[in-house]
Amino acid sequence: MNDKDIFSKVQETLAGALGVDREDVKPEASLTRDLGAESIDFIDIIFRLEKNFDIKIPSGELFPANILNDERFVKDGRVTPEGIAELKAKHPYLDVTSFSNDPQLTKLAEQFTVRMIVQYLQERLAKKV
Amino acid sequence: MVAHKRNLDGLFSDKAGGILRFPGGRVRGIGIDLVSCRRMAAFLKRHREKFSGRLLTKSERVLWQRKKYAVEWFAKFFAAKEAFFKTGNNAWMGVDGFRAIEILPMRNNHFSVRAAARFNGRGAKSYGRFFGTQKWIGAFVVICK
Repeated sequence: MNDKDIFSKVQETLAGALGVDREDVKPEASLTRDLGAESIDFIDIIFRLEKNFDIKIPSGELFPANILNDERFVKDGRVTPEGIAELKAKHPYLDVTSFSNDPQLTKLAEQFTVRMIVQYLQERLAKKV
Repeated sequence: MVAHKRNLDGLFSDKAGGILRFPGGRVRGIGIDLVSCRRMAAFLKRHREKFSGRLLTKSERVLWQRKKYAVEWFAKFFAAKEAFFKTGNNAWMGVDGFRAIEILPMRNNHFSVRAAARFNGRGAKSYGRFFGTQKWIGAFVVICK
């Protein structure tokens, strides 16, 4: 599957899960801010991606999860510099450049973009071949 | 405005009009969540196997089975878990995070939460209450220590 096919399938998946038009699913679109996703939608998206791409997405691999329970990485509702480093290391597809200026944990989900999903899938599918 | 106030009152009082009593100790966190039953029904129709297997613990699944797989009960578990996550300011804890905590329903729509210390701190206890209508199911959780 080439990159264009992956993006097209992601568009279809997100449009179905979030009830938005395919044209709105642009690479730079934030799942929460632009496409209106809530936490229940993240689960729906993961399950749909698993089905549509025939893969298993382990917990915390696509969207960060366990990092957020670690006191080293989150303090007083903010992600620590160590946490930012951990996010960069464990989630290379997640762009935390602007997030690091005001790393409020509640705003982290705004950084989850369509591009992040596409890049994750490109690497996962490349390994599968 | 009056109706809104009544709804809010409903969050904190049981059917007999008594105030929900939490165990003593300092409140460490409060979380609340609301789920659309229609939306949950659509999700269950699509992902039933994965949803129940990956989001509910074994005893929750047994209880859900006893409730004849009612959408309302799944929505209750989901809302309660989401509300619990929010007590710690962690709105997203991953798919497996849902199975790492257990909702223990009690009488009068009350419930307690069993969770590892890493979630709510050592010695902390979490309690909550379901509320809602036919269209919406909600839950709120308080963590005390």
